Amino acid sequence: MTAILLPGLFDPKAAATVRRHGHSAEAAVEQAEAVFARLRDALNAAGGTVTDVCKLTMQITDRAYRQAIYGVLGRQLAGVFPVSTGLIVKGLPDPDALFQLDAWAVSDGPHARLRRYRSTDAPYGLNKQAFVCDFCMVVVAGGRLFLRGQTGLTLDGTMVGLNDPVGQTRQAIENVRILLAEVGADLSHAVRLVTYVTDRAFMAPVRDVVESAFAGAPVAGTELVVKGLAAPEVLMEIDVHAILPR
Amino acid sequence: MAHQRFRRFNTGPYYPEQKITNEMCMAVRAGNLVFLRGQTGYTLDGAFVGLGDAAAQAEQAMQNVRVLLEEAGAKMEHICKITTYITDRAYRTSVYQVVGRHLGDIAPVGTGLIVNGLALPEMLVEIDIDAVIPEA
Repeated sequence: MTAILLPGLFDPKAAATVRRHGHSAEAAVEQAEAVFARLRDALNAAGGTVTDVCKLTMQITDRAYRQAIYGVLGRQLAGVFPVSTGLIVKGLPDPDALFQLDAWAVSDGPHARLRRYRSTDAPYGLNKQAFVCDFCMVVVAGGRLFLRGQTGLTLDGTMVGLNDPVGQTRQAIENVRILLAEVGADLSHAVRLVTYVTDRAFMAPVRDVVESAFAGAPVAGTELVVKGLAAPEVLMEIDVHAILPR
Repeated sequence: MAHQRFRRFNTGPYYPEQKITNEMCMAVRAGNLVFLRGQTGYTLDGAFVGLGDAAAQAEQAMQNVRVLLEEAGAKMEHICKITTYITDRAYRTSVYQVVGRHLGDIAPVGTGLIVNGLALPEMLVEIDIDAVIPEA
């Protein structure tokens, strides 16, 4: 099994889509179609297939494009069931890019995908969203464990900690513990941690909860303030990558 | 074998106003995979360099990357993926020039993002590195 890293995928013709449609959902859809076509080509060139995709980090410059872009994702990756983290970001390297994708794949699937769900059946924050995507909570590919970005949304789909980033973080950590346990792992197997918050004021209290949880086996971390997450009420998200020792 | 964790540190001195004292580390090696903490203008001794100067912060970050990789038994040419976060598009040219000089012809895959902020307001750039040591 070989890991295939495909970060920073954007539409090289982004400027043309913006000339045609302005900064709009239409331009975002065209860009997303181009990005997923590039993903497919890059995977094939690396000896993989789209069914090897484990994790996606979706980077969108405005929440207004989210439904449209996820609609493309849902069509392009129907039946794949990756885990996903969705960010609204201040900007992307190409000023005309409205969408950028980081994808992680591991060759020689099929991989185990736990707690599969269809986006229309699951709330994001307080509400369900209109796009149709097949996702899951954990992908096990070789010894690599890819988790969905965790938030104040319980694994049963209840949003806890409204306006309370610390409460949301406690729930996110609890989710990570549960998900890792379900695949025979624990926090000591984590190798990488990215913490996203939507306001700098949340960073210290959120980090305190997160890092306390990892105190026994410290990880290499990165902390980011982003413009937004899956829904406005989602104030923090943590991305955990873990590896099971051979 | 348990994962190896390099340069464990306490976050307290980095974020004095935030009253956080947690144990983190700078690098994790899991088999032949190496993951680094996001690197910034902080030296590995905890001094901050390049106040207001994104390129200087990037230079420090990349110097840290080299030291940390080598301590974990890896080399710069083992870098697979780089993620470059900046807080303003205006820093892009100068930061990428610095990063490019350090990477030379390694040619990793990469992502660039403009984010609203990093851990502290004075941080203008942060660099995430994943590396894989080739099988012998």
